[in-house]
Amino acid sequence: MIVLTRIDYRLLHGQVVYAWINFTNADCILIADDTVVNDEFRKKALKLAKPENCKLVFKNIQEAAEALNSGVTDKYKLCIILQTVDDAYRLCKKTDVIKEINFGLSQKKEGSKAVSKAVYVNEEEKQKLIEMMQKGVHIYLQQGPRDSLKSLEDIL
Amino acid sequence: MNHIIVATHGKMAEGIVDTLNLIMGFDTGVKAICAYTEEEVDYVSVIQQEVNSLKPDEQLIVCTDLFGGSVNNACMIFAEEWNVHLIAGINLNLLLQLMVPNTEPIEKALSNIVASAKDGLIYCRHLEGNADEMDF
Repeated sequence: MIVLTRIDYRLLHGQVVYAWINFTNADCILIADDTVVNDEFRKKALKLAKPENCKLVFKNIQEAAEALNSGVTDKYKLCIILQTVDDAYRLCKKTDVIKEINFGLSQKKEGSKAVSKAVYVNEEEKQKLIEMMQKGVHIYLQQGPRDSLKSLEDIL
Repeated sequence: MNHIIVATHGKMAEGIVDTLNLIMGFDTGVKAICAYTEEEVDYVSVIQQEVNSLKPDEQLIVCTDLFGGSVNNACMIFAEEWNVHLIAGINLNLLLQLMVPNTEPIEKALSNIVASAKDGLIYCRHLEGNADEMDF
């Protein structure tokens, strides 16, 4: 069961580890990312930062989708972390199991506009988000578990 | 229900609680005592009041900055109280772990948390452990 899918460019940091993992009771974290998979130093650091009693799995987007579709993740209370909108978009193209996405943090960049305090999107990302929402994925903004939740469709 | 007080020399307590609240995303209710910043404040009696107001099913965790420091020395009078738990040498890792719901008996839980918070001190030049793949 997927308990949380989050877009967060900082991946596994304090807020995710201590606030979200506690709140969702997740027992497994999947970092779905094409770059981290090949970065031994980053993986080591992320492993040290992971909560105890919680499994941490790295997959590229393709393999993440395959794992999700195969059912091997069903036995976990799974938390999926993605770095960017594009990663979420590509993952959602390859699997239908993701019904909700928490859009937590995204980086400010050229041409991007703020949709909330810590979330920025550019035009291309906006179109991808709209497409995902049209496909039936509920995308919401909520930085910490006790912050109020806003649906992205009310904002975009 | 546990209550938590952080007591330090100077403003470290205020700062670390502020950081804790920022990371957790809400006011955790952890109290900060910044000893020796205002002369009149007798922090031991502030803690004593907190102890006195504990209900029978409540525990108080007091975290200080430094074992052997004057704040922790003064707090040692609480170290063996049945409903007070004194931990010296605070770090953020410790506080964050205290936020995790825990069903173990409190003495066991705190021993584990202290051990694990020590592991949170890491010289990042040579990361220990390995990047071996874990799979589902």
